[in-house]
Amino acid sequence: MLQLLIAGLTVGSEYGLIALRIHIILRSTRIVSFAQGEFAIVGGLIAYSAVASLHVSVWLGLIAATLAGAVLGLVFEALVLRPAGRGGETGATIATIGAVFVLLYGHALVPAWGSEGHVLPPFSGASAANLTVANTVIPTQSLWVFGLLLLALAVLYAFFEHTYYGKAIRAAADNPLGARLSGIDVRSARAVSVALAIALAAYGGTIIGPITLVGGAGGFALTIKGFVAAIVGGLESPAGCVAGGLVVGVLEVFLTSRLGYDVADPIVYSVLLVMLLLRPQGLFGRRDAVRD
Amino acid sequence: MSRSIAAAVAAACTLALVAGTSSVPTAAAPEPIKLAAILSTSGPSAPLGVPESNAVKLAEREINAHGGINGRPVQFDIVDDGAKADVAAQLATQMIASGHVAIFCGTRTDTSAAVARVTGAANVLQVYTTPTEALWRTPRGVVKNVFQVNPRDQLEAISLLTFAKSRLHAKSVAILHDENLYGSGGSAIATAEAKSLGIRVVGDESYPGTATDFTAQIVKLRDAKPDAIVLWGATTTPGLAIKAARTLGVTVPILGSSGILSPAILGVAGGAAAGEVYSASPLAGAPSAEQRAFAALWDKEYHAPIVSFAANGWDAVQIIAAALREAKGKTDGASLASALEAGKPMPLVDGVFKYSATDHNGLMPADVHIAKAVNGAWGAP
Amino acid sequence: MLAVFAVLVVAFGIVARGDAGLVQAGTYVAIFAPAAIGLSVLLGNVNQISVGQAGFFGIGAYAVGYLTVDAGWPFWLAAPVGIAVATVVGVALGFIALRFRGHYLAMATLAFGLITVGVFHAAPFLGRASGITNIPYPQLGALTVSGYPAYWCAWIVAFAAVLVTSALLRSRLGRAFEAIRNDELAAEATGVATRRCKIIAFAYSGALAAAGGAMFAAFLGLVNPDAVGIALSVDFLLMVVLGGSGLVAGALFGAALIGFANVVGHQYDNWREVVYGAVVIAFVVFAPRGVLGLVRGLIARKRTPGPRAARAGEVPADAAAFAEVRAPNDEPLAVRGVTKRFGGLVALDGVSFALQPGTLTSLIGPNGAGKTTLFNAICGIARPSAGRVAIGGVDVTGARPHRIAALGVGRTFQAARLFDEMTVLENVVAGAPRRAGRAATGHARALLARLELADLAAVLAKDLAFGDRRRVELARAVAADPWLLLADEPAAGLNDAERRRLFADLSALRDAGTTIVLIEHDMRLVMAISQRVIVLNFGRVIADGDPQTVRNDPAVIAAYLGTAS
Repeated sequence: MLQLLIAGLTVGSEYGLIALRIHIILRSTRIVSFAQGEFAIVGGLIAYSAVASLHVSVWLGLIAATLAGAVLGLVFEALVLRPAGRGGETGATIATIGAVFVLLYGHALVPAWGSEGHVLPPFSGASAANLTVANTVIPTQSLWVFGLLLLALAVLYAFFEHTYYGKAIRAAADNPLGARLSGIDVRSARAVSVALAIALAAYGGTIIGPITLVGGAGGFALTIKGFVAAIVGGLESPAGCVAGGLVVGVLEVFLTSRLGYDVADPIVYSVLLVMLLLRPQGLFGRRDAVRD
Repeated sequence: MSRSIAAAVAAACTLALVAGTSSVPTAAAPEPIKLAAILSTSGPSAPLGVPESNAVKLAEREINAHGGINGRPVQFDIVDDGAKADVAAQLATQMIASGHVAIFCGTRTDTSAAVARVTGAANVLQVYTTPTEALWRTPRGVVKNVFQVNPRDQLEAISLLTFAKSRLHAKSVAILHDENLYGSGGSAIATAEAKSLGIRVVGDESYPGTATDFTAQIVKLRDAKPDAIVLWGATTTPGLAIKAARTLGVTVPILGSSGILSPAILGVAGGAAAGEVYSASPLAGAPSAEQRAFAALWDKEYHAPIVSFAANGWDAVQIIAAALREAKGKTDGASLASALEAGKPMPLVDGVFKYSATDHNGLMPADVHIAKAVNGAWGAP
Repeated sequence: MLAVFAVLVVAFGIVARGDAGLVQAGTYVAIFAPAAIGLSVLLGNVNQISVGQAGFFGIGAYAVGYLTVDAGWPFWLAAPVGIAVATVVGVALGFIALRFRGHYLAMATLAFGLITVGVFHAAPFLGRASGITNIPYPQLGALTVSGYPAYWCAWIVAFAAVLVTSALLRSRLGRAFEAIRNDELAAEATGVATRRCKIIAFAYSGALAAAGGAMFAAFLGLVNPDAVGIALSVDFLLMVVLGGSGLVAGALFGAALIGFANVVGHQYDNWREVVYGAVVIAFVVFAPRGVLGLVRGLIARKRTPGPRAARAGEVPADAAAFAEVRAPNDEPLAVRGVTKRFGGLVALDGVSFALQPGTLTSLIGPNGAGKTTLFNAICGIARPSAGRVAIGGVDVTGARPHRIAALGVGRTFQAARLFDEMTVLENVVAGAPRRAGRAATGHARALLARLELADLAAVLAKDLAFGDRRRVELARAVAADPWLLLADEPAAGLNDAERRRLFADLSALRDAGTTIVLIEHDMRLVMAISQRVIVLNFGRVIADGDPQTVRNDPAVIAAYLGTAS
């Protein structure tokens, strides 16, 4: 049904964004970072604080959150990813798990945030009506989510494909030595990539905020869904990651409606396993990306 | 060289642990009564554990301000089990070993059950605040040292479904619940109650605590065309479920367990847009004298309205205190339990608790009332 | 180090007797230790990262829960059932895991962990979200194993796990694990059945975890999906990584570390977890090989191999000749119509030849002609798209490399693939996995002496000079006395003296009956010692005959040799 589809795409957008961030960090630092969902939550909370304490519009909150996310990303890269990466990739991944603990419990320590979720006002204002098309309700916030997601993707695409700096970052990610020899500052390229990824996280956490809540302990569950999305769509392909997110979101919603949440959940993870077995490069990835 | 390093590190760990678990006795005489609260103040159950913990602190202060118990001050050591059952059990063992005579645990059924095993073996009084009666009412009889401080799922279910049948004339309900212990347990009990009242249960869907989308579940329930929806959940997630239901055009009344009785939830659910929502809770309806007093105290300290978890936490402390007073100096679990079982009625925030040898819950259906959401706040139906 | 731990455990048990809290904490360390040890074997020894260890733990726990509560079985029967189920599931996961590497393997095991939790959550007979409660303590006759007795009981099980694992790691299987961890391909080439080993590793680690889970259920008294979820898998991973992976003692240490950390600081709720996370990060940054890994790195620069270290007196005074070998029939290697395609690229096109026993044949051709691909097709590393390969009369087309190696084939690689974390002597011993103990070490030493590498015996392979690496690889390749030797550019990077030495050795091997195929670029030496030269160009054989004829073949000259020789 269309209603389920809309819901699936909305949820899927969030998963897709997480998957995209996993991809960006993986590609630029070769590290699989588990600290994805938490950054989204923190971003959303920052937007909430901006709105609730400083009484700015939610759009300004979005910008504030995105910028804060960029700063957090730089800190994360400098304090966690870079030092831990020297010890090997497994170690670095463990370090990101440590970061998960710090963020997940740390955000509850901020007095204004606490452990509960908070409400973020919808982008169109509190009393905006929802569209109803052919017996299907399309929440306006969902439209914002799609729209802003596409906007973010377009900006990223333009950046990576058509600007010098973006291409330099891609070069640094694919071939650090060659990039260095070509005069590209690999270290700052990596830092910028991570900052971008975390800014994207804060952005994503905020745009989905009015629909869900901001805050709470749900970060890790989100991260895992993001991984499922990345594998399904293709870990090595950015478009694949986003597409994978949408697929997983829709799949999850449809399965839940047929079978109930209890049964649908393990099935989604089984799909992950099956995908890994049959097509590990994901729906949109290239075969040579995965050895074995 | 490596051997001595390993030995030194292990020794250091041991020393640190011993130091951490031994408590410093207060210098003043008379010696305080040591009590422990093992609550989930971090992690997924934190929204329940934090108000409980705050209530404990408040109650401890109030008791000591009024002279303590039997002339001695009380000292409540609050520790966080992080929603892990094995950690809770270990904390309980530590607490008992360091002289705490009664334990309030806790926020979740699994941590409470794990601790119950320890307190049972050690003959220590334990009170807990989850709605499952299975911790004290077992097939093998009543567990002597464990007392429940919470209107059971049964009481809330009876209240909600009787209301649904008599006032809303509902002939069928659909159930939407948290997928965790609380929601699943409540859903099962609500189903049983509905059946015994002759109400058909036409659907049963669950959602995870971290759910952000409820479309699948709500569409399914909506298509079953129930006369009302029973919502069994806690923290803010059920609020989102209500909002989603209204957005998707579900107009039938929603009846929620006590876990949704907080103004925050109505805000999440969209304020007035939440529509016709009810909740069954001891805190609903016209407030009793005890409730007013507690609300005033709470507001003065924390500048917020009370929530069910705070009330539970407060009552738990009061009940432990009452047991200690009645037992007149004895502090072992059996004596404290007998003191409670003597059945002296205790008017507290959640209602009038009257325990007995066969009833370690102490509350009656009359203690649970229905509240209705009116313009984003809870009021009388 | 393990003896120290045993002493500590006993001492702790006696000293802490009066403190129930400490005893309980110690018991939980013992309960979590087997799973950590299992994961350590997987991660440290076979290099398979698993984020699903809690799934096996949960299988053990639920088995005990269900069988003791619902079916009334005693713990001592229920636990083995749980272990058996976990072992079977471990085999299945091992099969699945064979297909993945690195991140993908982590994902697959993560999925496994999530699926098991999902199953526990959905199965009605397992209590759904509530799980199983009121699990009784184990009974030993009249004794209820709880409290103080449980400490000893749990540690007996934990130490049994330690002993079994230590024995496993010292056995042939353990050496195979180590070879796999260093270089999987080279391990296959020395006859290690890498796939079977990995599956065994998964099954073993699963069984250990289930043992821990069984104890957990009985000791805690309940089990539910929350208790055996991803958070626990992460805990196990942290135990192994922070303690030191690859070491049984490291896993024990990590279990103790995390186990005790779990029960301190709970007055501080959220702060505690934040500090915990920061400590994890600090550990990774400053002690990436874990605490005990650090320690081990300091003490184990030069290890003595095997259960009984060979002393200097065992080097034979007379450097023996190579062992006499015979090919099983008169066609030690027959290649018929072998074609290999990679997508659209045809790397080998209908290559056919058959070798005579005891001959040395050189395979030459321009870069990219397909020489190494042909070797890979012969050894089983690449499966031919068409054609057949027969070694000693046995059709080995598409067989696994270790099976081919086991037939009596030795191989060296274009870029020397040594087991870098092992010493030279251990590398050579690994070349002959069938031999055991003293005989293996003695034979290896003799071989090293023969090849004038004896003074390098105790050096770690990763510390070798480039030229020495190739010679050590050759030593490893002939350690099992193969009757067919495939050497891929063994002379590359050697100086003149070393080259002359190398070819003298090859001639000696040939004279001892070994059939040798050589890929080489050094024309003078090829011409000097080969009895036959096969020339490949663009995947096809363009010449095949004795050196003189080939050298003057105009097609060959055009393709390869160019001007004056």
